[in-house]
Amino acid sequence: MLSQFNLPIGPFSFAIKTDNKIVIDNISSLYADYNLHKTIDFVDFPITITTRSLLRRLIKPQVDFFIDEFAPFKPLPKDQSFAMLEWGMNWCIATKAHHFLITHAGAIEKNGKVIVMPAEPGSGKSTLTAAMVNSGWRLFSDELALISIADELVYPITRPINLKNSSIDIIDQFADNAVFSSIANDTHKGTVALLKPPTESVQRMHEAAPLHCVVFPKYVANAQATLTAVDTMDCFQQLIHHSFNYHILGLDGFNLIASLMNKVKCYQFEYSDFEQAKILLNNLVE
Amino acid sequence: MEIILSKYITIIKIKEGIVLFNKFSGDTHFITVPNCNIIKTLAEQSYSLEELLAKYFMNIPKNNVDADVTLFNQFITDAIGSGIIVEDIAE
Repeated sequence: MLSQFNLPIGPFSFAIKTDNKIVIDNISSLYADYNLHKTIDFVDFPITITTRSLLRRLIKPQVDFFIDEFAPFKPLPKDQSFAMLEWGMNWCIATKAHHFLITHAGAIEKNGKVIVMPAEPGSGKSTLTAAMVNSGWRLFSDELALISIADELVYPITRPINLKNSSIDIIDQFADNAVFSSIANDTHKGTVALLKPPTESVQRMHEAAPLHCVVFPKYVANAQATLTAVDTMDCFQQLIHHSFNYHILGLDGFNLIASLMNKVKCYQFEYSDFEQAKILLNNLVE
Repeated sequence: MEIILSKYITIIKIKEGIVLFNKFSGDTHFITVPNCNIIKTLAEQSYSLEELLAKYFMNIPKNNVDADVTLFNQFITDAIGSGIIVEDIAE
């Protein structure tokens, strides 16, 4: 029997149906601060997580992701069920929400100012995001930064933070009372677990805010935390490189980035220590 | 032959030069000094290559003329190939 959860995530509404116990347990835990059973007038993304093959319920169990009864991905091992849901939700937003410029970036906010942190996979973006939102920053996203074409504001899509491999233990030790999902092993990203977002970030997930600066983070072992100014042309190119949908937005995307480049500063950021990182990032928004 | 900036090009000025968007191809181009001056010149009106080269040399120090001419010609060739600059065909 399918359980249903209605998930309001910032400007989007997800309806999740599933008979998968791993997904049910993890949604109940990590989305405990969300208004899960509130009736939603319009569902943007109707998702089902289930196993379509009877054989695969018994032998090497797998799970399927459906969006509106269409399966865009191959099945994954059952222990990756919750991770698959999260990746699938990212895919839904990244492929459909073209009223935003969507960048592969972390986004955090403090004092009404948003820092967007575009980065290559594996550079420590999600780990840094997790550390900062457990240090007084508001979580917008650890994966997708959404900048509205209409009003140039950054919109939160506050959801669990995706951590992998050693980052899981690092954040577990750094954050007080960290709540994690069940661990998914042997994924294409390695060992993965999701971190419950801070309650205040969830409560404020409908509050957009202006972009203050763009910071390109890179974890470098034993490095002193340093911010180095990046010129506008480099930043413009990097934002295009890290965006999912610049090629779809056309002139709208170009004009948006051009407008932002005249207003915000851009930095390269190397760090190894969260306390040092906190000081430098806090100074940017004071 | 006279050349001019393509009607499909949108220009944005930034600190380090200009950024162009080609509405027909969807391509984005980043152009620094001194080549951005060529683009700004061709945005105003069409010029022959000789006229454009003369204007180009008005704005740069004459350190190595042969190398500068080579660079100028290479930029024009690339810009035509990218659809940024087109031949001005009188109607």
